[in-house]
Amino acid sequence: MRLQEINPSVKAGAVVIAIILLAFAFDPVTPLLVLLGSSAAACRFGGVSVKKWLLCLSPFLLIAIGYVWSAMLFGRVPSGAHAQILWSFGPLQVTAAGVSRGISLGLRVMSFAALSLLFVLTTSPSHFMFSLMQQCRFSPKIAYGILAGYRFLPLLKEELAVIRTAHRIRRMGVTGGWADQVKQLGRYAIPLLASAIRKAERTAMAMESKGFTGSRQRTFYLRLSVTAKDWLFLAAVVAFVLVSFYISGRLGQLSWYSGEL
Amino acid sequence: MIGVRDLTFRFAEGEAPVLHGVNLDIQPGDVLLLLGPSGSGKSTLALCLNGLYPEAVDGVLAGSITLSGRSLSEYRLGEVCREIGVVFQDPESQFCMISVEEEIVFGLENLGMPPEAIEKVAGETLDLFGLTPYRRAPIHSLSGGMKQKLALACVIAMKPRILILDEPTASLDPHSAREFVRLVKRLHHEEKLTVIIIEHRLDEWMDAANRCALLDRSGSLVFEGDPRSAFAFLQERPDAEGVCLPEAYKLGREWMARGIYRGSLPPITEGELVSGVGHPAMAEALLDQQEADWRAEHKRSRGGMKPAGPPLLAAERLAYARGGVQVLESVDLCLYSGEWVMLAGRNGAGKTTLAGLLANVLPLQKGRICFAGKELESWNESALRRRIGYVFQNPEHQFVTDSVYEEIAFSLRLLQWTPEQIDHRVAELLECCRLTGVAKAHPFALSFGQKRRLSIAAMLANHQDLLILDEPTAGQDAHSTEMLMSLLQEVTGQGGSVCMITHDMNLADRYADRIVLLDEGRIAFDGPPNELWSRQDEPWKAAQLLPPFRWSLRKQFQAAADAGSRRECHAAAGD
Amino acid sequence: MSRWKLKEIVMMSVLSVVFAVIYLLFLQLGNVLTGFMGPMGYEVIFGIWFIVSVIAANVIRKPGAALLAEVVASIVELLIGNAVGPRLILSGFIQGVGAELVFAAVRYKRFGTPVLMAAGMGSAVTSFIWGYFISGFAALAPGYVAAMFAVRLISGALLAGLLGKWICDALLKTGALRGFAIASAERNQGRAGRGESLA
Repeated sequence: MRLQEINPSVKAGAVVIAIILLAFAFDPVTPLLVLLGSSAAACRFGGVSVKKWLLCLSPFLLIAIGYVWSAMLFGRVPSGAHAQILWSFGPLQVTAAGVSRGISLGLRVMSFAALSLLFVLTTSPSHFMFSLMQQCRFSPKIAYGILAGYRFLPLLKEELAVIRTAHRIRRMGVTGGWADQVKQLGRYAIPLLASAIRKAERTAMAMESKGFTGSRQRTFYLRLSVTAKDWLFLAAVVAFVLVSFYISGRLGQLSWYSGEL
Repeated sequence: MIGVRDLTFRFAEGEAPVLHGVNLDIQPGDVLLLLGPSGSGKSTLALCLNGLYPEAVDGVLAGSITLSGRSLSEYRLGEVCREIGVVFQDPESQFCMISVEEEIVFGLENLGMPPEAIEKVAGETLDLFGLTPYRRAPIHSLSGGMKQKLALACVIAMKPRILILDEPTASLDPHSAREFVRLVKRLHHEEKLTVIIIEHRLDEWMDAANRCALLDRSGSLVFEGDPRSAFAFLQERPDAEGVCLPEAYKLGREWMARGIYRGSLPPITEGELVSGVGHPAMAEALLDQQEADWRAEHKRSRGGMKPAGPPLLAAERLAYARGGVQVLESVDLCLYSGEWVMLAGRNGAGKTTLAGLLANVLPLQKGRICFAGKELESWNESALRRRIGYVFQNPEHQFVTDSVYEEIAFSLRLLQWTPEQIDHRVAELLECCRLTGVAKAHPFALSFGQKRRLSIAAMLANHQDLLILDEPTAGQDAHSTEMLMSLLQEVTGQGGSVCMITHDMNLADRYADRIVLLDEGRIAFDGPPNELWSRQDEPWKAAQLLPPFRWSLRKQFQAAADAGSRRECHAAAGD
Repeated sequence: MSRWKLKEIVMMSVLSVVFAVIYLLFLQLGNVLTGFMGPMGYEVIFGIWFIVSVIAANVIRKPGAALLAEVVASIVELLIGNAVGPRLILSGFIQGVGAELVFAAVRYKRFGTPVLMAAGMGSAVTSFIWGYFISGFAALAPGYVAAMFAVRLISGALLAGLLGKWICDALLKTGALRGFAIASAERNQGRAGRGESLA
C-alpha cells in the first residue's frame, strides 16, 4: 500500500481527526510516539526520502524550541505545588514542571507538523481537488477556481525575482534605511498583485470560454472513490493515536489538556 | 452563421461605448481578419461574439448577435462554446489545470462527455497536435509556442465550428508563430473551420484570409470586405496608424506606382508580389538601393561618426549554467560607443541570460567582463547603474512610483539633481516619448505602448552610456515600434550604445550595426546584417530565424533572374 | 454558489498565492522571531494571515466574501505545501468567520478603514480562541497569554486592516480592479461627489 493511493479526502480527514484527538492530550510521550509513527509511515509508505522529510520538518524544530523556551520561562506555575526549581536567574525561575511543559508543547507542534506533512508530501493537488468535488460535494466553481490560481505559483515566484532585480537597477545601488526597506516591500507587492489579478480575470474568461459554468452537473474523467483500504487507513491512524495514549498512560505520563484550562 | 446587428457595448452604464453600432455577417468557411488600432475594441467584439460579454464584466450591450439563426441570449450558459472556441493572447493565463492532459480533459468534462468518450477524444487530440509525449507534463514546463498549441488543442478537442484567435502569436518567436499559423490553416482546410483572427502581424495569414473588417478608434466598423480593398481603404485613412500592413502590400503599392510591379491590383502575399514583377534584376537593384538608403540615414543620424575607439564593454569566455543546464558557453563579445547591436536567437538560446550578465544583473560565473576599461565586478553598484541601463521585457516590472512624472524623476532625485533640473529633463523626455498628456497618470494605467516608452524614458533619464533592452518591441503595434526605434536612434546619435534583444529580423536588418546570433548558448554569428544573410552556411536557419522580408524577396528575384539568363543562354545555344 | 463569479474566486485564489509567496519572505522572519521570542514571535506577524479576506471582502463587497476568501486561501496554502496541513482549512474557516461577522454587522454597506481594521481584529479574536485550544496556550502564564492576545489584535488591525486598505487603494490606482465591485463603488462615489459640487 502506498499513501499516494489513499483517497485524498479520507486522508485529510484522518489527519485532522488525529490532530484534534492529540490536542486533548498534554504530555511529552503521546506526541513523541505520533511524531515517530508518522515519520516512519511517510518514509516507508509515502516514498518520501529521509533527507527530504527532515528538511521539511526542520523549520518546525525552530518553532518548537521557541515554545520550549517560553514555556520554561513564562509557563503557568501550578498553584500550591512544590515547584522544583532547577535554575534561576534574577526573577526568572526554571522549574521542572516548566521544562516538562515546554517539551510537551514543543513536541505537540512537531507532531502536528509531521501529520500534516504526511498529507502534503503524498497528495497531488489536482487529485485533492477532484476528491473534494466528488466525495465532499465541494463546489466545482471553487475547486477549479483554486486550481487556476494555484497554477500561478511558479510564475509569480519568477515574477517576484524579476521585479526585485528590476527595482535594484532602478534604485541605482542606493539603499535606504529600515523604513525604506519596508516601503520597498510594498513596491514589490503592488505590481505583483496587479498583474496577478489581471491574470486571474483572463484565466476565468478562458475557462468560461471553454464552457465551464461551475455547475455540479459535469462529468469526471478521473473518478476517485472511497474503498475499504481508505477506511482501513483512517482506522489505522485513529488506532495509532489511541495506542499512543495508552502507552503514555501506562508510562504514567498521560495528562489531559482540559485539566490545564 | 454569425449575424451582428447594431451592436453597441459599454463597460458600464454612462461610459463611452467601446463598440459603436457594429453590423457584421460571418459566413461558414470565412477567414476573417478583424483589424484596428489598439484600443479599438477588437477583443471586446470577439468576446461579445462568444457570449462571454456582457456578463463577465457587467457591461451594457445593445443590439443583437445571432449564432446559427438563434439569438445569443437564448443560448444556455456554457452552450456557445460548442459552436465557438477562443485562443487568447497570453499563453500564461488561459489554463486552469496542472498537466497537459488534464487541461484538454477539462473542456470535454464541461461538455458533459462520458469518461469513455473523453479518453478517445483526448487521445486523438493529443496525437493530432503532436502533444502525446507531453501528456503528463506540467503546463508550466512548456515553451510559449507549445502552450499556445495546447490552448488551440483544448479548443479544437471540443469540436467548435468557429474559431476566434485573439492575437495568439503576439508573444511567440517567429518560428513558433509560423508553426501556429500553419496549424490553424490546416484545421481550416481539413475541418472546414470558420476563423476570426485578431492580429498585428498579418503577413502569415494573407494567403488564407478572405475577408477583413476594420474598426476605428471609436469602435465603429468602418470597412468590411476583401483584404485587398481593406488595405487600399486603410492607406487612405490617416488614423490607420497601428495597423501593420503586410510587407508585400506596402512594397507592391510602391512598385506599382513606379511601374515595376505589373499586376492590375496590388499584391497581398509575397508570392503575388514576386510573380507580378516583370524585371527581377531591376527589383533586386531597387531593394539594394533601399538598403543603401537605410544605411546612409543611419550614418547621418549619428553625424557621420562610426562606432570606434576601445570597446565600451568587452566580455571574454562567458559561461553560465542554471540548474545543471549550460545556458551560455565561451561567449566573447564587444560593444562600442555609438553602436547598435541586436541580439537574436530562438527562445531559450541564452539571450536574456547574456544580457543579464552584461548588465551585471546576474552574477558572473565564468569569464570576465570589462566595462569602460574596468572589471564589472570592481564597479561600485551605484556608479555602474548610472552608466548602464537595463529595460526589462515587461515594462511594468520596473515601475517604482505611482505617476508617470515621478517615474522619470525617480533616478534624477536619487542623483540629487535640483528641482529645476529635474523638471526640465522630465519635460524633455515626456515630450520626446509623447507622454506629456499622461504625466499625472499611474504607470500601470497606461496603454501597452505608452508603458514601454515610459520604461525606456525612465532609463534614459540620466544619459546612460549603454542601454540594454530585452525584446522592447514584442506585442507593440507598428506605430509604437516606429516611435521606439527613432527614440533609440537618438540614443546612438548621441554616442550612447544600444544592445537590444529581438526576434524581428526586419528591425534587426534595418537598424543594427551588428547582429549577434546566439544558438544553444554559443555565438553562431557576429557581424553586420548583410553578412549574416549572405553567409553560405546560413547560421540563421539553424537558429530558427526567419530572414527579413527584403532578403527573402531579393533571393527570389535573384533566382528568377538566374533562371531568366539561363533561358537566354539556352535559347542562344539552340540557335 | 451561483452568486460568485468565477473571476472573483480565481482572484481570491491568486491573491492567496501572491501572499503565500510574499509570506515566504516573512516566514523566515517569523521562524527566527519564534525561535527567540516563543509564540509571541508569530503573534507580531499573525495579522498578515487575515489580509486576503480583508482585501477580498473590500474588493468584491458581497456577503460571504471574507469567509470564502479565507477558506480558499487556506486550501491554496495547503496545496502549496504549507505544513500546517489539512487543519489549515478549519483554521481558515474560523478566521474567516471573525472578519465576516464584522462586515455583517455593518450590513456589507461600509468598507472604510475602521471597518477593515475591525474585520482584522474580528479574525484575531476567533483565531485566538481556536489557537488557545489547539496550540496549548493554556500551558502559558495567563499574563503572557493576555499579552499574546493583545499583540494579535493589534497585528490584525494593522497588518490585515490597515495594510489591506492601503493595498486596495494602491491597486485601485493601477486600474487592475476595474472589473470588481470596489471600482464601480468608487465610480459612483466620484459621480455623487461631482453631483454635489455641481448642486
